[in-house]
Formats: sequence, C-alpha cells, structure tokens
Amino acid sequence: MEKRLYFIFGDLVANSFVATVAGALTAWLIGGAWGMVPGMLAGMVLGMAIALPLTLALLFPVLGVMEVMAPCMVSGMLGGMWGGMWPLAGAGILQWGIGTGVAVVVIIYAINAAMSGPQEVGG
Amino acid sequence: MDTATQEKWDRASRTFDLMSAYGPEWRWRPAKLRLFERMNPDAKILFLALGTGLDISCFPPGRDITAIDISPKMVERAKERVAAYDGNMTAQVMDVHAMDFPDDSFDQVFTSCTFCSVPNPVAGLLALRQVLQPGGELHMFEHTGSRLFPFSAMMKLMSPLASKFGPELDRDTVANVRAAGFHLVEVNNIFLDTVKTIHAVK
Repeated sequence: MEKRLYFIFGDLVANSFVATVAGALTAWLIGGAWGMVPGMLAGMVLGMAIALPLTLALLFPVLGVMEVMAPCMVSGMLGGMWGGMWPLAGAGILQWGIGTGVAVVVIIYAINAAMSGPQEVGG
Repeated sequence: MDTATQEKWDRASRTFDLMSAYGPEWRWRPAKLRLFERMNPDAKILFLALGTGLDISCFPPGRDITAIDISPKMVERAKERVAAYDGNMTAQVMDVHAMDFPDDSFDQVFTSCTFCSVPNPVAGLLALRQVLQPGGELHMFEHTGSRLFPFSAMMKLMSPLASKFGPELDRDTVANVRAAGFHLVEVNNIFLDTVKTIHAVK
C-alpha cells in the first residue's frame, strides 16, 4: 500500500487530470450527439487514446510506470465515456473528471491492498 | 548478438534517465531495496540488465557483482555509477542469449525490469540457469502482464506499440521462469499483479 504523500497526491491529481482532459476532448468532439451507446463506446476508445500520450509523456517520468499507466488508462476511458454520452461543459467536465479520477484511485488502491504481498506459487 | 535489440536500447539510452530516474525509481525503491538486500556478502553475483546503472544505488555495499547489458551506450552511461559502487563491480556488454561465462559460475542472479524486454525470455532464463550453480538463486524485479480486466486487455493492446521503443507489457514472466526449469520459491506482488518480485532456485 502506497503511503508516501507525494505519490498519493500525485495519483489523485494525475487521474483527475487525465479524466478531465479525456472528458473535455470527447465532449467537444462527440458530446452526446451520437446517441448514448455509440457515444459511450467511441468515447471510451477515444478517452484511452487521449490518456496514453498524456501518461507516457507527462506522468510516467514523475510518478512511475505501471502505477500511473494502469489507473490513468481507466480514468481516461471513463472520462471519455462521460464526454461521449453527454453534452458536458465547463464545471460539469471538471466535476466528472475529478470525481472519476478520485474514484479510480480509491478503487485501485483497494484492489492493490488486497492483491499485494506473497502469492501462492504451488508446485 | 541481437543487433536489433541492441540498437533499440542504444536509442533508448538517450532518454532513459529522464524517463526513469525520478518517478519510476523512487516509486520502486522500497521494493528494490528489499530485493537487493538478498545479495549475499560471499556470493558471486550476476546482475542484468544494468541499463544506465540506476539500480546500483539500491545495492548493499561490499558485494561481488558482474553486471551485463546488451546496449554499449547504456553501459557507457552507467560507467560512473559502476565506478562509484562501494564493492567489487564490473560492467560488460553482453546478450543474455549468448553469454561468455562458464557454466555454474554464479551463486546468485538478479534481474531488474529485464525479462519484459529480452526477445526470447525462456531461452534467456535457460541461459541464466546454465551459468547458475546448482541450488543457485534467481531474484527478479519485473513488470508483467495482468490477469485483471481491463488491465489485461489494455496491456495486450498497447504491447505491440510499446515494444517498438522499450519493453513488452504482457509477458507472463512467472510462467517463463517455470518453463525454464527453475523451482519457484516466492512471488510477491508489488503493484496489482503487474509489478512483482520473483525468487526461484536452480
């Protein structure tokens, strides 16, 4: 379980940032105009595509590799999903982005706490 | 020598410290310190892949370490860190698939983010097994693929692109260690099931 404030705070900011940017761009490009399901699916793919360069170029050098890439791809996917489904704008994008980023970090930290440590290696 | 892999890591050496020296190394430092604590004071140790030598600051002092890397430019950049190590350490350009060491010549082998990049991981692990003494220890710090959805799907999707510039993201290194004939002693998840330490013996 990560206990260093730099990484906890960094993970929260990074995931909120990625979800917000992915949400804003997909809302600008699609913004619910394609209907609920196509918008959702296109937004998810677009959100991940937006998250990847943000993660590799900006976040990877300061926050780590898998620890930032795995959650940020999910945050990007969810941020893109909201932006694809609904005509989000302004404060709405920010609220969804921050909410998504914080939720993803909390869930990933919980899964990691359950999974980390010695594993059964069998014969 | 696998020149394609060598050229890939020679290119990566230019930005390696910029990308890895701060966030990734600081994030992984506690786990790496625990792993490298297992370097025995009286053991002959093989370490791969050296890269630019970022891991050296996690090594305990006074050990007898032979480090290898396939990339001459990585080894060149690692020179100062190797020279500053408080112990007996040498660095050589060598491909794990074609090592010059005699059989059974090391007591311990340590790897750090290596078998995500070795082109033929089982062959590479078999080569390590050959240079380890009977009962010798393999200690690895590796990132691997995941069994968790959606990470598993994402890593499979991204791996072909990532491998053009650096490592593959969806390797099953634990299975590869088994396939090379090692006996697994411990697998320790560091982050989800994607970053782990592996302890195995010959």
